[in-house]
Amino acid sequence: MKMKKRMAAMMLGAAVLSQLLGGCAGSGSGGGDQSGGGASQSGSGVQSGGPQTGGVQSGSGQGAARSGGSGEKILLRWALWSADTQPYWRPIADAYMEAHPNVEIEIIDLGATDYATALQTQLAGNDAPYDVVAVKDGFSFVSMILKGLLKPMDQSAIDMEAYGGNLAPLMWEGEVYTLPLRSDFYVLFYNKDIFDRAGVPYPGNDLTFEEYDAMVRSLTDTTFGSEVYGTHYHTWDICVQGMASAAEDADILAGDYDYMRPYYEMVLSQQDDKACMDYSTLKTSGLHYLGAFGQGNVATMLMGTWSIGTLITRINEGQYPDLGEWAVAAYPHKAGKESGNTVGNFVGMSVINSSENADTAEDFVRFAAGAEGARIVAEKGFMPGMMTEETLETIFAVEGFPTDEGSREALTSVKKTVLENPLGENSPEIFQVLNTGHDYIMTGTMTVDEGIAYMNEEVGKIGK
Amino acid sequence: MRTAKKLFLYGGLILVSFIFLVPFMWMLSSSLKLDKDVLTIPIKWFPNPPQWRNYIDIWKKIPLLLYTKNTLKITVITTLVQLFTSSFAAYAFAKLDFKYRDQLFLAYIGTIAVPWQVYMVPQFIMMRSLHLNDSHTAIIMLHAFSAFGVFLMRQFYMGIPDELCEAARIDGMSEYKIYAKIMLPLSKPALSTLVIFTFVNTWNDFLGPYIYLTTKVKKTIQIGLRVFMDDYTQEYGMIMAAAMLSLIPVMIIFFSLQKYFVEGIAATGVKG
Amino acid sequence: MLDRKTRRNLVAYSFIAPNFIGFAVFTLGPVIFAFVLAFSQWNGNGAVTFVGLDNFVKMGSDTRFWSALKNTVVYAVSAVPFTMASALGMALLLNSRIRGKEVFRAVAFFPYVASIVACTAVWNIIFSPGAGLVNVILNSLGVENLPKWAADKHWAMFTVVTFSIWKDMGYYMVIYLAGLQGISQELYEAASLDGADARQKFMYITWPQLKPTTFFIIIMLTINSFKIYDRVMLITGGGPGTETLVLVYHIYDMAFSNSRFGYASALAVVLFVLVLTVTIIQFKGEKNYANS
Repeated sequence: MKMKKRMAAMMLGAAVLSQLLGGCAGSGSGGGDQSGGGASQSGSGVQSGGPQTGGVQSGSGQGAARSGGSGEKILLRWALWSADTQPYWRPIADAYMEAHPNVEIEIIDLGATDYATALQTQLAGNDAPYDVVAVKDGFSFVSMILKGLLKPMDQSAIDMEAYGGNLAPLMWEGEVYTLPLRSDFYVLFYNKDIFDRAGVPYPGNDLTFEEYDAMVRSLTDTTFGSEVYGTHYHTWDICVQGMASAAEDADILAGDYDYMRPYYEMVLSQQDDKACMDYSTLKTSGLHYLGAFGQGNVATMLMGTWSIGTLITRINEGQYPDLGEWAVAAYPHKAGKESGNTVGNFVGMSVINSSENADTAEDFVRFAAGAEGARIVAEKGFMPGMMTEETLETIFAVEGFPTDEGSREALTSVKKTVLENPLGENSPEIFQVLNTGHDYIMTGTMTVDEGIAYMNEEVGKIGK
Repeated sequence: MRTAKKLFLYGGLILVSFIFLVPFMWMLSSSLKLDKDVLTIPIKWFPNPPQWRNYIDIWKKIPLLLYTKNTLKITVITTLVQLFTSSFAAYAFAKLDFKYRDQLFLAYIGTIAVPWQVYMVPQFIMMRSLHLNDSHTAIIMLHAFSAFGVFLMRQFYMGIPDELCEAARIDGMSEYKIYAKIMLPLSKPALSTLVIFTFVNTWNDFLGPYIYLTTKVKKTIQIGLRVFMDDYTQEYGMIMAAAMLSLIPVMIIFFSLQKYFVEGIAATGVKG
Repeated sequence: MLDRKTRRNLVAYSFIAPNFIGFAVFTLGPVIFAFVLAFSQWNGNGAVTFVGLDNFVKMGSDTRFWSALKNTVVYAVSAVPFTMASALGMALLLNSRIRGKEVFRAVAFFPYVASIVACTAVWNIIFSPGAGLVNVILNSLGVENLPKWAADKHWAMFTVVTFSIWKDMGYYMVIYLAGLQGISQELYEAASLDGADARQKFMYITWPQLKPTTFFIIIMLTINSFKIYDRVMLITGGGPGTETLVLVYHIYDMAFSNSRFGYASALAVVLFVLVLTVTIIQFKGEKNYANS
């Protein structure tokens, strides 16, 4: 009796293990219940760069079982984060379901904290549990492409022009694997009250870095107990490195970082003169950048447009009573160059390759990242990936949105965005090095020269 | 002389306790502050006026009751399974002689040394093949058979003299009876240590439930806390209030097990 | 029917089975799979390609790996003895006849119970280089050039280690208390009759009797030291630079940021071998000690 039980357990263990090993090895031996067999093959097919849409359909046998009792309805499972706090997800799904009564969209909230890890684990193995995924960052996006998880979309069905410059940086080897639902870029936030008090004119949209530096210093007050910081940099590496690469039009993945020197020197010198908060203190306290700006003693802040919506919400909730009137101006630029370069960031929508309803999923993605979705995103105060005259008017009509001419111009005059994490096969490793180098420099562990030499050397080793 | 020594001892203990408690005082004080006052420099210890509403508002932001219920369910079942199976297995490893004993024990010890992050993906794939993903069972299975429990109980049983078992065997007791009648009552301090360990670990686990539980109504308190921290990054006051609330159940467990540490072997009437 | 030996084996297996089944299916199996991966290339989805010792060869030129290895050892060497010693000291104090020991015990145990996220947040505020509590006190004592703690090359590891001692000590104290409860009072009574003082009682009764407990604690502390991850991530983020980058941090990066599950598994095998070696040395040490 006891022996039997033990044997049964060992058999179970062995079976599971062999299934695990077998499944992952892509043998796809056609074992009845292993639904992932077909998908696995298409997965490895993608690796070699071949077309993969053919393999996807092989799994369609389970389609009926999966959508189960919902009758004729097509079920789309959509993985995203922060369903409760990002106000546009649900309205987009609702709008699509209203327009397509035969489609049911199920939202799966994987949380923002470790979205990439959760998504990667959920998508591991062969049986992808989703049809549509929201893409949060460039690293996991590339990783999903390389694993063959994402379906290249039909470009003839997409109005590529409508995305302006927002789509091109997201393309991979000529294919569209994601459409930008949101497309944000860095601007200069400023607190008008502090400018008024200091008698400094508001920043225009044609500020050079030298002018920016001088302005920031003229706003700084180091009096103990009533400090005013001229500017604020969050602790992200991108806050300095992205600034440098946008200003210099440099490729941050290229491996030579000498061009970052003047920008690091500027920020460090501002930090020494208390024109901005101390990096080490910020890093250990974990102070949120909006919290810093909201305190009302930070005159300017270089930050992404994604915080506009959140800032408005928080102000409406009465969280920042000390923050006066605020507005935005264009990102500063290098002297001698034109204004209009900035750092950008996106939220994408992609179709999972092994989805049984890939066509519907693709249609939904086009809808979400298209004019209809863009309008919903704009209504909530966020910058949509597809920016038209109409969506622009929508976004400026949002209650609390800065409406002065300067802010308007700042948000419409971007010429070129450099992605926060540009797409590249080795970009995660490169950014690990850049992040380390940034930390070394900003904490004073290394001098600017040492830090740059470190980044040049370490990035040089990657991919060899 | 004696009183001076006592005074010194208590003085030391109070100082040490103070050091231990400072972070919690800060947590408590922050939980009663406005968000914007939490990270101000210099530190303000006494919020004025105290923001009790943080403790009320948090219930509206996360379904704290539901999450607590889920976590309690997972934690209690895990602890019971862990307690029963590992004390049972540990008895064999400590007091019985059988084939492959050392090899099997080595397999247990070996896995303790492997960080979970390494096998988390294969484990997930396997759970999914058993259709356990997005279920509380998965989290229970994740924690209930930890090698740690077997190791802890074995070490404790090793300290109990073999003569005790031998005598019982001569009296004709079966191994099951020896385990139930002699070992189990003796091992209360170790069992309560294991309860605390399992309870605290399961209660505070974040990444496991985060990866496995994708349906909102199934989530646990730590996910609630972390997701809340992420979505409302700056609502420090409420974050700290939630953290304070999440401490309560584990503290109850600890206080109710306190007496077993005091009781010990001497009180059971058996002496080594 | 069955001979004695088989019956004895079967009884023993019946004790082990309930735990072992779960353990084998949910832990051992995946662990073995991870070990197979160490000799392969796998991105989490496609095929598993066998690459022999390739992953291990690559470690030679992986500078982050070497920093991580060094930092992990430094952490273990500093955290293990201090945590153990303070846990033992606290347990001895609280095992003596003093008033209100339940309260002190609960207080010392508190940090272990609290969620790591909340604890590290508080820790970072207290050790804030700006006007954190620690620096304010040091400043009032006239200390100049105050450390930047978690952001300071020389003090970042110190900040993590002190956190660990503070957080873990209470739990090991409880294990020691359980161990102390197991020591028969008669031994102490007999020693008192022989006129032994407190120090002698400790040296000849308490310490030797606590040996299985101490052994367990050292092993667990060592293993857990080699496995630290979340507290480092939350306190220093591995910085400044790579000063507090630890092995599991690197493993996590490789697996989840770079999708190199094979290489990550190989790193885990190195970690495993390291811990195993230390454990065996400790086993040997314990046996020698027992023989002497």
